[in-house]
Amino acid sequence: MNKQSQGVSMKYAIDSTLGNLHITIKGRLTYTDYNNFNYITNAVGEHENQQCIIDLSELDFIDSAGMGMLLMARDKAFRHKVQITIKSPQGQVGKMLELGKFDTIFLIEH
Amino acid sequence: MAYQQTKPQDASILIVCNHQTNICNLSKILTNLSFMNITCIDCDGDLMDEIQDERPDLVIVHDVNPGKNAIKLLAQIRQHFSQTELAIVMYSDNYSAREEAWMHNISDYIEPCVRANELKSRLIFHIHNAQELKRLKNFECMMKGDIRSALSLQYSLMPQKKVLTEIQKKYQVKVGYLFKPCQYLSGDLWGILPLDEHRFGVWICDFVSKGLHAALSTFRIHTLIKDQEKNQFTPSLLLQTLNNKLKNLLAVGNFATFLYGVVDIRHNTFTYAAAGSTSPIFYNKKTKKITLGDSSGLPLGIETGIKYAERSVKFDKDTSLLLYSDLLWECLDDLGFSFDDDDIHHFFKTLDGQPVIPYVEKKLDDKNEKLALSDDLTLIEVTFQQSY
Repeated sequence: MNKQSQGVSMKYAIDSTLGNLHITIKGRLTYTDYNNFNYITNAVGEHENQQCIIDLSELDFIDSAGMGMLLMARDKAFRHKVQITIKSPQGQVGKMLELGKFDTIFLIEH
Repeated sequence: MAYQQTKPQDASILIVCNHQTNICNLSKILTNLSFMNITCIDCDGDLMDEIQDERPDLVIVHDVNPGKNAIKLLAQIRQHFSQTELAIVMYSDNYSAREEAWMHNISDYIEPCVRANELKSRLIFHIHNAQELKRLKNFECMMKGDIRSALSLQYSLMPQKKVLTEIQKKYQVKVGYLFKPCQYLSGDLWGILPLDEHRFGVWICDFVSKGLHAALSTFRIHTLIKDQEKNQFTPSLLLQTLNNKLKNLLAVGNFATFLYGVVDIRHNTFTYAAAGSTSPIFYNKKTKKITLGDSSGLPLGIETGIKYAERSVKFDKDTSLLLYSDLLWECLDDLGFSFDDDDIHHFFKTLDGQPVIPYVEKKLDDKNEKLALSDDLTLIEVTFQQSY
């Protein structure tokens, strides 16, 4: 499976191979992205993935609603017994996740 | 409602004719097409009053006498009812008037040679649109009233003037605040409560997202805090309690950032616990010293059983404590300044000892109606006036 989207704010790519789901989110993840993010949460529950990596290395900005969307993906992963990892949050995104102590509920790889 | 469901018998039509003897011809055609609620008038009477009184779904200007200027009539009606959802159809075989009629924003131009079913279908289409517009306007009007009431209720949750006056007098502090929802209602809330002779508590809360859903959550947290007021609680204990309760109330993906702190004017300390809120800022107007408190912590409502760290900051006389919603971190585009780490020193340098709230208020005034905030704005400024 390989899916991509181009939007005004968030852009994402989903790649699923051999039980690994790789999601890349770029740009800005804000409350306007709820509908688009559904594709990501749906993908987390699809197929027989055991691992899900959400790559935020090219995400420039996240607001509290965006953090809420990550929690929705986490919930879906938990229900489907998928291990979820957030990879390389940078700048403001890293600061927000640190402030909200998201490292206590997500595995975060820097 | 779908357009096909609009029934001719439920529609009201007013026919305005510029030739009295022909006034009922069209009415007969429409009656045969099941339109029942039809009023016919000639153009010589008090036409605008008639339309105003009748409030029809559709006005048909029946142009049967080109000598009498139907276009002028059409223009008058449209101008008079320019701000309403009134649909106007010109019914005429005067081909030369066609172009001009469209210039007066008519809804349709129908020639008498049209087939009966087409006539019916086109009229129903305009009637449906007019009825839907009326329905939406009524709904909008009702919603605006409800939202005004809800906002007024939300304001009533915040500290009232009497409470603020008492706090200011009792603890020798100045308390100012600014509260501005970005939409109709706010997802922010704050509160202040006297604890004993030398201590009072202050809290600020910001729910995810904005609008109605976030606003309803502020009512919940207000009730939860009120429930706790009768108990003795430390900042960390309050956050733990609120967090456990909110976890059961909020859907996945929703949470609240929160900070509750106790100001002790005897020991000049601010002892607080935070759940991912913005950093409390301590700003001394005389020495220009700025201290940012650590506000990291898992936001409320995500996981149960979280322990929140309790932190303490010592402040001097002439220090102001600033608590604020996250808009002020990132509002360079909105207000031209931000409380982001990189900008905050520049901001306070610009301020040069002036209180923060009047400065932000002025920025808001300067932007006036052009300003559309991207998030709710809450700013609380507590100034300690003397050392004990």
